[in-house]
Amino acid sequence: MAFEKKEKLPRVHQRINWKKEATMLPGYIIILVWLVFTAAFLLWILAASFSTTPEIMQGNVFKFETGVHLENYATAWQQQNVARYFGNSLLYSIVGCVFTILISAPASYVLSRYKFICNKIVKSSLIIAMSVPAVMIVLPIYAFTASWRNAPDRLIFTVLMIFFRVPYTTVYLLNFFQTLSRSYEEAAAIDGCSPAGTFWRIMFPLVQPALVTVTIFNFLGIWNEFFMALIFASSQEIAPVGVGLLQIVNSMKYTGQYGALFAAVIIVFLPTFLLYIFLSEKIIAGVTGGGVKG
Amino acid sequence: MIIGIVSIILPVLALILQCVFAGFSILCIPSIATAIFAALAFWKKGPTLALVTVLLAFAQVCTLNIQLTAIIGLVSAVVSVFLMVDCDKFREAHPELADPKAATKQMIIGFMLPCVITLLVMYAYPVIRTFLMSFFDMQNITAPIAEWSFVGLGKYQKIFTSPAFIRSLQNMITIWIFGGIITLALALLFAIILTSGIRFKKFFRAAIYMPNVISAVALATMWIQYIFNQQYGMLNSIIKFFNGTPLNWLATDMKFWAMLGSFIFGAVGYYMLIFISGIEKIPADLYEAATIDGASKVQQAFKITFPLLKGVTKTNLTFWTINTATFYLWSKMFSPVDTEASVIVPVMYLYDTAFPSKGNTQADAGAAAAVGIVLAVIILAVYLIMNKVIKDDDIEL
Repeated sequence: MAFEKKEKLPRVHQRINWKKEATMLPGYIIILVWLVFTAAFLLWILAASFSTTPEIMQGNVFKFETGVHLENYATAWQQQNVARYFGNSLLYSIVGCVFTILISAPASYVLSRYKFICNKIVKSSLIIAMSVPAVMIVLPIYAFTASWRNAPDRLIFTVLMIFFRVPYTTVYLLNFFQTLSRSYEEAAAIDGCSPAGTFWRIMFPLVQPALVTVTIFNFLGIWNEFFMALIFASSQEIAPVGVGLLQIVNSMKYTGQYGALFAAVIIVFLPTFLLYIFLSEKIIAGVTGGGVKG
Repeated sequence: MIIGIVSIILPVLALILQCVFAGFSILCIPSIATAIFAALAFWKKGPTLALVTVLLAFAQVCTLNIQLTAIIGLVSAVVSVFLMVDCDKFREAHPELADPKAATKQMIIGFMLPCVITLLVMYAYPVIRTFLMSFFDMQNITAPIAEWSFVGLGKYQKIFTSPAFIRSLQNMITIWIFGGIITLALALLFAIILTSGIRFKKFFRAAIYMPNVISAVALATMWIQYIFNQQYGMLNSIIKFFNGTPLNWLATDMKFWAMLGSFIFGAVGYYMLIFISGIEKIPADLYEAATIDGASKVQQAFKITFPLLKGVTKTNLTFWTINTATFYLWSKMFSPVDTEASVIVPVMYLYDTAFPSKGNTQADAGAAAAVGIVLAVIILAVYLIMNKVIKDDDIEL
């Protein structure tokens, strides 16, 4: 991005201008209050996930008087089925990301570089499809997937997730294919490479950074999907983490294991959080860079 | 060579088994299509046709209803991948066979087909059917169109006379107005602070956006089980520290505001990023000139930043509207078992009408579809009004 370059230029050993910083003190205070609140409650949840239920009830989670209780994680992972939900979510996200790219990237390439009838129509339908709320489409989809009830439910949900991400992914990639130079295709054609071969060997690898960004968003989107999951994948065996966690919360009344509940929350929270720690720059640039849909 | 033949035989085999064990039905279509496309790919040696074969073979796996045939379908999907690679190699070995024009045409069709199918199956058909459903009465969602009976605007009448739906609309409007003002104001405040040359800007920005990437279910659970907890929760601990009386944050009259507060906490970061991108597009020399002329930071915000952020505000308002109209997750988390009137929102009403959890209520797919249509109309109306009211006369400097 252009503005990041601008920022780096004057940073050559600037001394802290305390007067300038002082005028921004209210700003610092506001931001810090927000951050301290966020950090405090995340840390508390983390500490609670290592504590026993009585300790949590008394509010003494930071003392660890009875030691660090790693068994909360074992309970959550095995007894409360988190292992299964986690595996399901991993399966949906990975398969979903791969197939979304396989469908979207070729379509996006053709849409952005070739003129043919319906090109405009398909492009605008994709943009409309991106903003169609899920509530408009779930009922009919439920009706026609009901006739496939014999097919494995996991596959139905995976296919829905793939289809659900295709418009966003295709629209996101349009700009990136457009900016590539025509000379790649010309050179490939002279060397006797077929148009499709040109795409897979040359153009597809060239947009790799965009593919990575959009795949991160697809992964987050599928991992965090809730509404569709509640309708199409709500049974114990096939539920992803979101629906699974809801089921754990609902059963809390009977089990009363708060430590394990917080351990489950941390397990669900960690994968995307870790992803974010390593890739936050890329994710943030992606939010404002392309077309946006959470 | 062998790969090509195998990729044709496998879907045919799956088709035969399917017909023998489950009879011929509409579910056989993907198998037939896979076989045809595999044959075409093999005959014309087109990698693009092979790509279509891969996707069709995948569709085949989804529709086959006997485990044995599903396994065969899976194998044929894998073989089709090899077919794709094989075709490409063949092409390379015999460049004289390639007719560039035909190959381009073939590629366009092959590359577009999966995407267009997605649009038709996942969007066009469902949207049209939802629209039609809202004018009909039917036994359940899965009833075929032949069994629907026309009721005109009856379903709309039904939902607009239902107290639960009216309550859900009221809640939605409250979220839209109060939540919108607070969220966008906080987002704008953070955006202005972060772009004013503050240190650790990237870290702060990333930290504020963070709740948007983690699972909202986990976030909601953290709020409900910790912050709002009556016994050991954060808010009540603070109240106790100042010797106040602890409150029940999740009591019926407080619940809605508790939900809204926690939702706003998660949402602010996203709108902040959009505002930041808008502010960074404003040329820096405007601020330099203002500083030289002696304008304070606050004056600069009111005279330069706000007027030039109209376009971005419109984007944010559109997203906020979509976000509120499709608001569901937080309501569900705050009333996980039975829907409570205090936090009901339209999507929740839709879900309960279409898939009633209690045995005594009758599912009404028509009314549920009508709710969907009402929400879509609301989003569209707000979008159109905003386009009329806020003109996009952004900076052209």
